[in-house]
Amino acid sequence: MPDTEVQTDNAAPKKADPPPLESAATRIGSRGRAVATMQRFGLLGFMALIFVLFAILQPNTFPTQDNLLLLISSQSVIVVLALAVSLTLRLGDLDLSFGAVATTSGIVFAVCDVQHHWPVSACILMALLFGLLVGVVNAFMVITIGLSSFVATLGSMTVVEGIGYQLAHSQVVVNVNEHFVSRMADGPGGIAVAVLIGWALFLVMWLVYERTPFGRYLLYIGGGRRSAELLGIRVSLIRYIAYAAGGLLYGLAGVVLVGTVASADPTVGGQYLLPPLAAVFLGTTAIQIGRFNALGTMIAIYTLAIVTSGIQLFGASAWVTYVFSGGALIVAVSLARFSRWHSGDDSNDISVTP
Amino acid sequence: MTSLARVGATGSMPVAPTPVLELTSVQKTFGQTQVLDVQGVTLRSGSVYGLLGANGSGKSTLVKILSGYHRPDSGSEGRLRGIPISWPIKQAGSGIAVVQQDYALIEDVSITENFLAQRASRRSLLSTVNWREEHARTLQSLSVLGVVLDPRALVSSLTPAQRALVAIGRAVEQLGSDDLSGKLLILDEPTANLGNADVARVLTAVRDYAASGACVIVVNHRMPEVRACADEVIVLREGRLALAGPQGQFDDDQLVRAMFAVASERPSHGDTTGSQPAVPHGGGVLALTWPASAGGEPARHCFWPGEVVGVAGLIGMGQDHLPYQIVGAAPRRGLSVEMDGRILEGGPVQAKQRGLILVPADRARDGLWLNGAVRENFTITRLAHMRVNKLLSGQAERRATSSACREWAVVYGGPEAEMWTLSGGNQQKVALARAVASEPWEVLLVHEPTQGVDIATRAAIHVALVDLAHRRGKCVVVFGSDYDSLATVSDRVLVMNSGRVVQEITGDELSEDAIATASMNVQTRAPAPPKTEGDPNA
Repeated sequence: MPDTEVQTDNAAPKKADPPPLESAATRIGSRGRAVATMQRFGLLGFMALIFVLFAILQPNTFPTQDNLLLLISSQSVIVVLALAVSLTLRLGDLDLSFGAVATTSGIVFAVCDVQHHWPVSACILMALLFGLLVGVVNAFMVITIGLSSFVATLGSMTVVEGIGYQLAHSQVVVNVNEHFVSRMADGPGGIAVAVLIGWALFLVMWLVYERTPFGRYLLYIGGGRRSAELLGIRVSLIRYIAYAAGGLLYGLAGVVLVGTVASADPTVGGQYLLPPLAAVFLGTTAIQIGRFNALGTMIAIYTLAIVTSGIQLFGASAWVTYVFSGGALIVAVSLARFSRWHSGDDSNDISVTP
Repeated sequence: MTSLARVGATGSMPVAPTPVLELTSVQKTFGQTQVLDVQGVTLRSGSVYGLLGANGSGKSTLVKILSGYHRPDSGSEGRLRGIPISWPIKQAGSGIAVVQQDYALIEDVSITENFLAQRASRRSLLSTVNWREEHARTLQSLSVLGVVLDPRALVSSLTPAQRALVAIGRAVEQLGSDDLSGKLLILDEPTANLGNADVARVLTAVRDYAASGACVIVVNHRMPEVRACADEVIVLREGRLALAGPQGQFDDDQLVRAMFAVASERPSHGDTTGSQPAVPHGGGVLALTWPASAGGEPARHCFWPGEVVGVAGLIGMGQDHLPYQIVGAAPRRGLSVEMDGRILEGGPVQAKQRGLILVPADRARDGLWLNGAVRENFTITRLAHMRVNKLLSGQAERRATSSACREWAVVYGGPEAEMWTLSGGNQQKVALARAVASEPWEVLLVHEPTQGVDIATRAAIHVALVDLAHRRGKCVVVFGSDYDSLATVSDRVLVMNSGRVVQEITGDELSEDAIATASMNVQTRAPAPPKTEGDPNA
């Protein structure tokens, strides 16, 4: 007869003293912390390194004021787009429509300005409203109908691009309000207003992500949507706001785009698809590992820009830029995955189901 | 259950050949919790073994070890057909086949196609499928169980019993047909979703298969079914062998006692209100009304402030679904929920506003954000209170988190530690601490609060739940199938069957035994429990 005397006294709860607060998790150790710090600031270090490298290799062209201002202002649209798309990425969704919405909002702006001669403020308003509208439609498809964000926004991206062609009659809209264009280019210290808009947006997004409940809700929903729902958090409302705000900011990016290039071209949407995506994903390997965060995104944007600029100074031909953008996206996503593994996350392995 | 005549040949084996499986000593530890420690189990050909045990007794872990999913702790020893096992057990060629509880069938393809995956390994990737031959093989494999089905039929068109038999047939084919002695077939609750007539059919097929020489383990915890099909019983409790031997040697009472231990002490409710909760004022804070059904009249149950109510039942009997229906996260299907006498409509957002909060069972999926920090998980329900000058203050968050974790004796690496680094028990404490902290609330619904939780934490959670009701005057409703836990914390227990409350156990009658008996002996289980889409336990 096997032993039937399994202890039976465990069910009686004791209000005994709490167990000592010690576990493997408490013993991260200083070495672990040093590794974590290196990870957080690794991308920043890399950016500094290649900056110095290019400055040494191309001392006459790379570290000049003109080149650096050009480098920064060339990223103004990408800054706005990358920050905007991080809203829905934090939710765990992927809104692909941003590049197309930006171009078409730019066309809306240009058409209102060039063909209808509306005041600039009204043109800006129209562009922003267009972006907002697309954002709300995306939200409706994803949240209310329940489509996958990837599929829904792949569709809306193409539709919006088509609308852009129609509005522009398949031509580049030129002769945009000169006053507006020169205002966008001319800011304090030679820094373009377009750049300042991006930086201001960065500050706002940083504040929203780090210091407001909304930013936290985005992450929590991204990581545990079902949990958020059961906790009574207004998940659908928050997701709607993220999509709508994203759309609005794509519209803003469109205005910045037209302001910097002084025309609206319906064919450039594709150019603004990869760089912002590569930047946000690469951004998750910096500052807050594994999370779409504002500061990491900024560091990633300028790191990628420095590399591109350096390559161009060496006289590389056009194909290199393509290969680089695509390669950067893949490397960025791989790094993002790797840094999560490295931090020991194997949360899929919870198999304690009695 | 007399229809389930025993066909087995008890005692008809003169010489004992090499046992199919000997588990000399097998342990499994998750984190710091040892969930299985089994010694001296021997399984022989031609017998059906009933594997019994309450939730968390380790039977699933044992099945997963035998199927090669888990590798047991180092130092574990066992022999398969006399040969020492090298862990983890490799499925292919081991002579062990497992039928999962959910059968693991692919719905939208034919029966044969469900068999193909296991046959495919013998073909090259590019070879074409000879359908005539494959169908014939399927037919052949099913006929071993005495089943005749069109192999081209879609699985989605089959009845539950047919599905069970197809899944078993697939496992039987995996074991081969040449020499059955030495083969081991494991069925994990094969009858969990079946009605009575179907149960008989499936169990008879299982018995016949064993009679032809194989060894079969049936995980089950329905007494009549165990009686009908098993030669021997193996009972696990808290990861250890509680009882083993020929089934006929033990009466129902002995088995139930072995599964659930006896005489669990109830916590000291005494100091405050005696055995009865304070006389409720005005009316129940939470009331549930089920609509009239074929089975009977509309049923109404009220829950009062200051009491802990357990809602018990076997898996699938409705107590696992009810908490999600109450908060509106699953379709209510006519269930009417009243808070303070007013009907509650809408989802969890509305439920929260009316003071109803839920701590779900599946912490990884429903309860927590595992990649988030403990701080971020803890403060998510009351971020508004974590602000200084309208902005979130990390310091305020950390302070709140630390103090709650200290109060609940959470073992963790600080507020910034990611949630997944905590053990199951400590995760559960954080989930409970968060719920309790999200004032104002009146009713706390907890689903399987002690599932996957170590013994010390389990006790601490029991104390905390009782305390919330008896000292702080809250209403606490505990849903689950851990009868020991329910008997320990509850002032009264409602037993559910087929989505309805069928019995209430109160006062001195309340014991683990009583709950177990009530939920298991509930005569027929004919009508299947309401299967709903969006079932949180699907």
